Amino acid sequence: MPKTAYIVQAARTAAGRHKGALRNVHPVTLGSSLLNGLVDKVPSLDPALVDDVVFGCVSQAGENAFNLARQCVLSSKLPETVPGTTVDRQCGSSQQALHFAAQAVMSGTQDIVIAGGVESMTRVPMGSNMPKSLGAPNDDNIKARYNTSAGAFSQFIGAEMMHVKYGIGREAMDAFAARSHARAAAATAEGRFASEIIGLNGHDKEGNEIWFDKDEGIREGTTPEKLAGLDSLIQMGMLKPVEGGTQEGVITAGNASQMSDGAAGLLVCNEEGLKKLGSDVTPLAMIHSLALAANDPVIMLSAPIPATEKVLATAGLSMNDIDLYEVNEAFAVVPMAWAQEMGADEDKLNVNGGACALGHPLGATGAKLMTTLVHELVRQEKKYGLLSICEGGGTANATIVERC
Amino acid sequence: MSTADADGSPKRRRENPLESGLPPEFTKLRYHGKHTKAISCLKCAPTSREGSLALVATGSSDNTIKLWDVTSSSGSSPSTFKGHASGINDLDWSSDSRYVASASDDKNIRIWDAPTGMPLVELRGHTSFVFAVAFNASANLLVSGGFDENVKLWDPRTGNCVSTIPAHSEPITGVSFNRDGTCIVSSSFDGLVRIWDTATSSCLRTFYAEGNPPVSSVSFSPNGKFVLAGTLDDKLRLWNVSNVNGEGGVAKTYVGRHNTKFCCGSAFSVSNPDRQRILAGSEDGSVYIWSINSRNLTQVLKDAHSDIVLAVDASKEREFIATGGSEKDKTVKFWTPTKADN
Repeated sequence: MPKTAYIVQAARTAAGRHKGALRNVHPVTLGSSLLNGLVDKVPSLDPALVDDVVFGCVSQAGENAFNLARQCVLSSKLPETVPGTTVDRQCGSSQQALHFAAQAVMSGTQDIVIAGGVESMTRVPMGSNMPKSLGAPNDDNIKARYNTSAGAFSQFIGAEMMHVKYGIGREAMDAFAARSHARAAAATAEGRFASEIIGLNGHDKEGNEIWFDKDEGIREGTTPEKLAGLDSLIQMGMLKPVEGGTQEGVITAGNASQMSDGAAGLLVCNEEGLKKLGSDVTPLAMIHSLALAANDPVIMLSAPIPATEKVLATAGLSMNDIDLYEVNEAFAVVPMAWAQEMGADEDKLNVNGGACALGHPLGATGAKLMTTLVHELVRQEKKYGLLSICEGGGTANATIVERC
Repeated sequence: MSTADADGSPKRRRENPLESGLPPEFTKLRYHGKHTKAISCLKCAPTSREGSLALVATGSSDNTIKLWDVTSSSGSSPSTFKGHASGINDLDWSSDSRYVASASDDKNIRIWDAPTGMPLVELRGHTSFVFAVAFNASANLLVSGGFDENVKLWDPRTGNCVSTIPAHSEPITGVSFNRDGTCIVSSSFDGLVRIWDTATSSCLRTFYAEGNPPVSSVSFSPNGKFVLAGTLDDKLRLWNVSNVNGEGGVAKTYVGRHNTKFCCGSAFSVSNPDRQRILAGSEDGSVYIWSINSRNLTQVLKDAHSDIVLAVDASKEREFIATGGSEKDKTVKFWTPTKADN
């Protein structure tokens, strides 16, 4: 009989803007700060009992290299007897880390695992692990299969293709992005993130040291009209128009996720693990169901739809049963297409804003969104939450959690 | 057989004036001026008084602005403008040389009466360092750019902010009006150069260099047809704004100087139609001068200063250059065309 995977605690750093408040923080320090903060939230946890730390990270090069998770353990107050491993499932890396942690404790091979992710897009820019000098990821078989000469598939072209496939236009995307900012600003003002954010030292624009505990990417007062003034990536010459799409293009910096720096993590235990923590500990939630899906890597961004269908089928639940959804705003068109196809209630979707406003620290995003989802379920005293993230390569994870 | 230059234009065999034995184009005047800290910016007034070579305003990390009335025989004691609470990042003159605008780390802009040094108006509104400032040709508008990522338009007479443009996603490093004031160009560490319609604040163009290096300076050319942008990849690029979009539209690229960390200034020297130049400060303490058309380096003012050269400008009236050195140097130096018997 499989054991249950419980989320005992969940926490994240505030997300720093690209070259913003966390620009001087080494990603290993970012990760170890998160580990220390998470451990502090569970005073009865003996850190030596952590069986593993599984972290997601996308750009595993430079300061992110050499098994980032293990480096974060060594930088933290966890003893050196705690191992670590680093996962790459592109933008869903830390959601996959959570899945691995859940599977480990459910199988009984481990009892207490910290799952999370780290990304400093400032210090290790996207693409750092794919320098031109080392060649491109697409081999001749992939190029032949997909009739392409591209060295790697482009998420930006995928986003323009999503617009064509699902018929979602620029105006609607800008409105969605503006709403993301408004929701994030309201959530911050109301203190809804207070229970999940771990503060740490950062630097302001003028170089002064500050205590950084508020998401930096939110632009209050963003309106669809302001976003409409931005040039699209096609207008900026970064992309060519796609088949069936407009000459002007629809994807802009405003209706896409922001590059960010951040870390997030969850303490995952089974029943044995809970016993080790003591009777005073009440988990926040449990993992109800897990799923993974894969489809067209060229359009790349549509797999949250089949992933959600799979996880609902596994769970024996319907969309109506789910109280809150988090679907990553890699581009506004992604959750919009998902909601359209799944018949989702947009009032339950990304209720505290999403990556258009709060940022998308690639490898940390899965754990970040799950942290926000779990805490919001607790705050609203709701039962079921669902998380899904589109991933480079055309895959997506989906997770259903149930509040304890 | 020809090979291509970095900007794609065919490389031709050229005589290198630096190796040709020709005399240097510019020679330093004997005297110079000094601040108590780094000189971060300077501007030559559009017109100077009779008998003067140039009227030069310098801005410094010592929080002051100094005005130098430069003649061929001596330098006068400067007048000093005091009032900013932090270092000065940029200066500009009104077209009648009556007023000076200064942008400061104290988050404010001040407009000064140049003849008397009296502060006239303080422009408040930026929420971080103000890094760049420029008058339009009729001096009825002022544009500024700051570390708060905003471009602001001001009425310099009243000090009121006319509009705020959330122009970039990182600190703004330069702003400039075109000749007729209908457009503004802004540059930023986010790697983008943007052209804005002054009247509507709408973005007309966005362009960037290959590799998207941070942009450290920007200005319209005197004829308004080009934009000169310095980037932290050691290069200066002249963009043709009539056909620029995205990565396209680079008319010329100027290489040779060292600039990867600081906002080293650049300027056009076009008062002599037979000697049209671009000059730029460099992190090696030198000043680099190129022919605008041929892109040849025509002179390097080698070791002009003993520290990074952030500040350079050229007079519009006559051939005259002013250069300013950073913290270890603190001097402003003046350069005029080399005489035949030098």
